[in-house]
Amino acid sequence: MKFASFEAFSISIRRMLALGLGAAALAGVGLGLALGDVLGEAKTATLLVVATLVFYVTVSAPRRLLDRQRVAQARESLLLSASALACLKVTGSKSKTFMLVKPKEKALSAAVKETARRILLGVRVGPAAAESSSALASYSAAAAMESVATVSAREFAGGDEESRGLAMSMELSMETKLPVFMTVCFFAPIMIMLYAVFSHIYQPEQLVELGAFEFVVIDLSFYLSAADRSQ
Amino acid sequence: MDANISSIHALEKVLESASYGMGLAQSVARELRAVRPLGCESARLILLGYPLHVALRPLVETGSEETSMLASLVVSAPRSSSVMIGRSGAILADTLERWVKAKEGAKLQQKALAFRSLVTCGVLGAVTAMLASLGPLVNGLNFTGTPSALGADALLYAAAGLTGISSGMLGLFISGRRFYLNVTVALGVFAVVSTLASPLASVSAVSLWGIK
Repeated sequence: MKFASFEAFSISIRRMLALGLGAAALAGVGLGLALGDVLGEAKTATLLVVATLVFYVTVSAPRRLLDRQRVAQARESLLLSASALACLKVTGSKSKTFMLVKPKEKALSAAVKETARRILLGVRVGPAAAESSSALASYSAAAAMESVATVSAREFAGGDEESRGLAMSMELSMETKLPVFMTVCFFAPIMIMLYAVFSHIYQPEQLVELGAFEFVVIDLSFYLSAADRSQ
Repeated sequence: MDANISSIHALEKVLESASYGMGLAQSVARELRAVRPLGCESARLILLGYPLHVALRPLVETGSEETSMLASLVVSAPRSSSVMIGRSGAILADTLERWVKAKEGAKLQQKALAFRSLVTCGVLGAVTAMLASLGPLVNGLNFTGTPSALGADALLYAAAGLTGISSGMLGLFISGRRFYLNVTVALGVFAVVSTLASPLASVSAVSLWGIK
C-alpha cells in the first residue's frame, strides 16, 4: 500500500495505524464510561461507530495537512514564478536566482534553500531543483522551481490554475458537507429528545449522559465537515 | 472600495511605475498614502526615511494574503531589478485581484449562510421546546386518567442544553466567533415556545370513557 501523505511527512504507516487504533480505543472507552447505560442495547453499535470515526479522523490527519500545504504552495508558486523570472532576466544565472528568491511558505522555502545548498555543493542546477521539488505537495510550485532550472520562463497560469482547481474542489466539498452538518445539528437534539421521551428518561443524570452523547456526535461531524474550511 | 483591492491597485501602480524606471520609494509614498490603514502607515515610514523592506512590513506581515504577496514582490525588487519585477508583477496583480474579488463573493455567500443558520437555529429551538413541553404529556396519554409529568422540568432544561450545544456548534461552523447569535436565537425561541406551550402541557387529559 502507498499513502502519499504518509510518505510526504515520512510517517510510518504502522505507527500511524497504531496511533489511530489507540485514539479509537480511547474514544470508545471514554464515551462508554461517559454514556453509562442510557443508550441500552444500541450502546455497543454507537461506540463502534464513534471509534471508527475517531480512527478515520486520526489516520487522515496527514492527508489534510498535505492538502493545506498544497493550497499554500500553489498560491506561493505565483510569487515564486514572478520573482524568479525577474531575477533570472537580471542576473542571467539560474544558480544565483535560486539563491536570491525567498518564498514565505515553509516547505517551499526549505526546497529553494535545499536547492541552493546543493548548487553550492557542486550539483548541477537541473538535478538539484528536480530533487528538491519532488518533495513539494503542489505541482505548480514544483513546476515553478523546475522552470527556473530549465530556463523555460513560464507565466503564472500554472499556479493560478491549480489554485482555482483547489478552490473549486473545496467549494464543492463544502457544498456537500454544509447541508450534512446542518442536518446533524438540526436532527441530533430532536432525535435525542424523542428517545428520552419515549424511553421515559427523565432522570437528570441520564439526561446529562444524553447531552454528552449529543456533544460527541456533533463534535465529530463538526471536525469531519470543517476539515477543508481552514484552507 | 474594499481595502484589499485598493491596496492591490496601489501596489500594482507602484510596480507599473517601477517598470518605467521610477524609484520604488517615491511610488510607494505617492500611491499608498491614500490606502488606509496599512498603506498609509507604509507611506509614512518611507517619508520618515525607513528602507523599503521596513516600510512595507505592515503590508507584508499584517495585510491579507494577496496584499502580502504583492508587497513581498515589491520588497524583493532591490535584490534583482525594479524594472523586471515591475513587469512581471502586473500579471501577478491581476491574478491576485481576481482572488480578492472571489473572496468578496464568498463573504457575501457566507452572510446568506449565516442568516440561514439563524433561521435553522430558531426552528430548532421551537421544535425542541414543543417536544420538551408536550412530549411527556403525549407519551403519558393513556385516556384513563391524568398523565404523569414526572421529570418534565428536567426534560425542559435538558432540551435547552441540547439546543444550546447544537446551535452553538452550527454557529461556530458558519459564523465563527459570532456563534453566540445562533445560541441566543435558538434559546430565545425555545423560551418563547416553551412559555406558550406550558399551559397545554399542564392540561390533564380527560378520560374518554366519560364522553358521550
